[in-house]
Amino acid sequence: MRVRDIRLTTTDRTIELSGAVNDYRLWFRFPGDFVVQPRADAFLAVALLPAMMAGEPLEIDSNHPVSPKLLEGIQQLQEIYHCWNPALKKVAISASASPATVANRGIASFFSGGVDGTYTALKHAEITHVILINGFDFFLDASAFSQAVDRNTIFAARLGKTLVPVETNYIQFNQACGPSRNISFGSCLGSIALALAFHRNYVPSAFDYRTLHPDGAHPLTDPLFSSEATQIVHDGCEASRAEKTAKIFEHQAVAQNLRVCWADMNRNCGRCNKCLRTRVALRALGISGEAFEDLSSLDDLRKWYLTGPREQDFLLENLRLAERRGDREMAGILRRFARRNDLKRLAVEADRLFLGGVLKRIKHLFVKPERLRVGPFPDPNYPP
Amino acid sequence: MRVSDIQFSSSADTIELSGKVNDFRLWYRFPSSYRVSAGGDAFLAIALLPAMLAGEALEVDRAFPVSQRLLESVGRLQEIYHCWNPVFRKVAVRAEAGSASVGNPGIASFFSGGVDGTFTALKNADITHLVLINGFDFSLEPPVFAEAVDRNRAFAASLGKTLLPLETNFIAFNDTYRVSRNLSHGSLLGSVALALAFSRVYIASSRTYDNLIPWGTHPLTDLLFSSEATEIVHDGAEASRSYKTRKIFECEAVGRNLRVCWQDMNRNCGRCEKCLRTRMALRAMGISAPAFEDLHSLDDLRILRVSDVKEQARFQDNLRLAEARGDRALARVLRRAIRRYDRHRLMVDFDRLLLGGVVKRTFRYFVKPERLRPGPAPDLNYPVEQA
Repeated sequence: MRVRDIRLTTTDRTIELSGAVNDYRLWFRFPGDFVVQPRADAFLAVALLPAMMAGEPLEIDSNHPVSPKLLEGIQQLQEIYHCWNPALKKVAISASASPATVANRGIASFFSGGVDGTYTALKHAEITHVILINGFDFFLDASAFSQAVDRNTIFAARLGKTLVPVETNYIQFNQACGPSRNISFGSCLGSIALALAFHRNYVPSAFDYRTLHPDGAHPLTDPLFSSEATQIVHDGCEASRAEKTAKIFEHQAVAQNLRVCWADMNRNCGRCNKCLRTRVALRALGISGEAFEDLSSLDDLRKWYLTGPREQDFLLENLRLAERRGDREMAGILRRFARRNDLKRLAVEADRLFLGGVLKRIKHLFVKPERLRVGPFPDPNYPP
Repeated sequence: MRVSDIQFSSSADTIELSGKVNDFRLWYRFPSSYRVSAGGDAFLAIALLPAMLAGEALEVDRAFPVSQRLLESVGRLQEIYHCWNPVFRKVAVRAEAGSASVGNPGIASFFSGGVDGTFTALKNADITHLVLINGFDFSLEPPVFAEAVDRNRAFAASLGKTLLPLETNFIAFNDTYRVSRNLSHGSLLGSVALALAFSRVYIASSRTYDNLIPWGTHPLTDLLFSSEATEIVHDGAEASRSYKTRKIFECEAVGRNLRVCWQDMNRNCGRCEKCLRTRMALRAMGISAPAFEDLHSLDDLRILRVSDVKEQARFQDNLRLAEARGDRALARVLRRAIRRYDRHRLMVDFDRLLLGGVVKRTFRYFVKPERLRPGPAPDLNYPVEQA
């Protein structure tokens, strides 16, 4: 896999950093008043996983230097990724090394208006810039993104910080040649942090130290994207999602800006999975928030569907909170969900251990299991 | 909780560093040819968990300065321990900040002769010293330890490295403050590393990146014991136990020195759980090793039980190897052990979910569960309600 032809293009309002990864032209667009250097750090970070997935050496055009510290970090990153999922193979990297220098003054953090980013932005007074990305986990049309930028610019200013809106075609790039977003999204954040080269860049965590698992952003992997100039810090693992939510709702003005919705970047639909989770947490915490309708009727939850170990952690945490507050109705519902998950797991295990997996095979006769994109775990349905 | 009265005393061939943690005098005895740091670093590292468990501020006597970097990391360390098990509370740490300087030239790694330490010693050519501790996970009689020192000194020399034997009363310290060794062993290693102040000290991992759980040594916590002078590195989490074992037995002389036994530091009994697991792994890989009797009859393996998910991963790893080699007899035994564990878990869930836990309560009526020492995870049998 080859990275070459890295270019800076300026228009009156933006500066674009782009490069060809094999035949794909990947670009990042920053506001014109930020300094971006024509280095290859960002492309090394983002091309690593596609190269490991293909099992091909990664060659970076020697005209564009790469940070020696990043090159070292990449070696360890490969060991971690390969250990998590051996379908990602260790590959040779060739690049010309030269130390990176700070390009922009201040300290940045990634921010999309959700719980994790807001918590980290509140926690560190030293953060001067919050980076909002279009084309990372969502891809908004121009008017929706500019609305999000306007709203968050005001919000950031109220906290005394500057919003840095960034656009990229990373989602399409990753679709074309990358692994599952669950493992690759950390490398996109690393890559943008390296391109902007603030002295320090926070990556807000989604999980706490107790519930850590192989995932795209992780306290063991994020710092490995650091260069001499930019220290990348995975932040917020000390707090659970409910604790973060409680902190945010200590300030109504902050909470009012909270957007967790999967369906719409600019308002909380209140019905999607992510919105429901937040409304459940708020009710379990006994908090009333303007950005969300109170969960007074629990009918909304009837069709709620949460499975998997992460969701179970979430259910149990909120169950504990609801019980402590004496909210018996909420606790009852959460207990039922948790139990349903447990029973389902029990049935799957019983089938595997006592029926030799016959039920599963029958099910797969009718519904072929989806072949997962290469992610942070090996695909149990299609072992290599 | 207070750390005070840190002092040195030397005899003919050892130098003893000791200090009081409240009323307990904790000591380390090093060979006298090494320089030992007189600062408070080593004692801050080891007193942190007891202080957190007591929920008391930790104060280090101002006469014994502590590395600025270590002081800065202690906050993060506390966040991690507290998140893992909330019975460890975050406490204030008060100490005079200073800057640590390198005490001894070279690079060290902890070593007890087992799979993880041997693998790390082989992997990193920059290691000059192997640190063998008596009083850490075993406490040996002087002649037994002397024998272990002699054997490992010769072994270290064969790798071009120097053995650094040391003794401590850490086990008694840990019994006094009642923190589970599963959590406190990382702070002991951090403490010794800080006392010796090599520029880098490796801690060999026992788990892999895909199987990490809260544990005393962990790639997120070990490095937080570093000072300006000493970088502490958690090493080897990329390699499975079977990979490490295979690497070790690529060199016969190295394989011959391997000691994994729980019963005896100086020979492998071949019968204890740890020995049997190693013999099982060797057979799965088709390796015949002088330090271990070959596993001809599989009857011996009947006593082996899969105890947790991590152990299950190792059994599965061996199962894959046995299958790849066409060792069907061993594969069958391993499959059976894994299945037995799976079924046990299924029964526990079945009882909890469909019988309302009546089987467990009946069992508990006769056998009271042991109250665990506070460790890396909350004690599920005796939950503590958090404020």
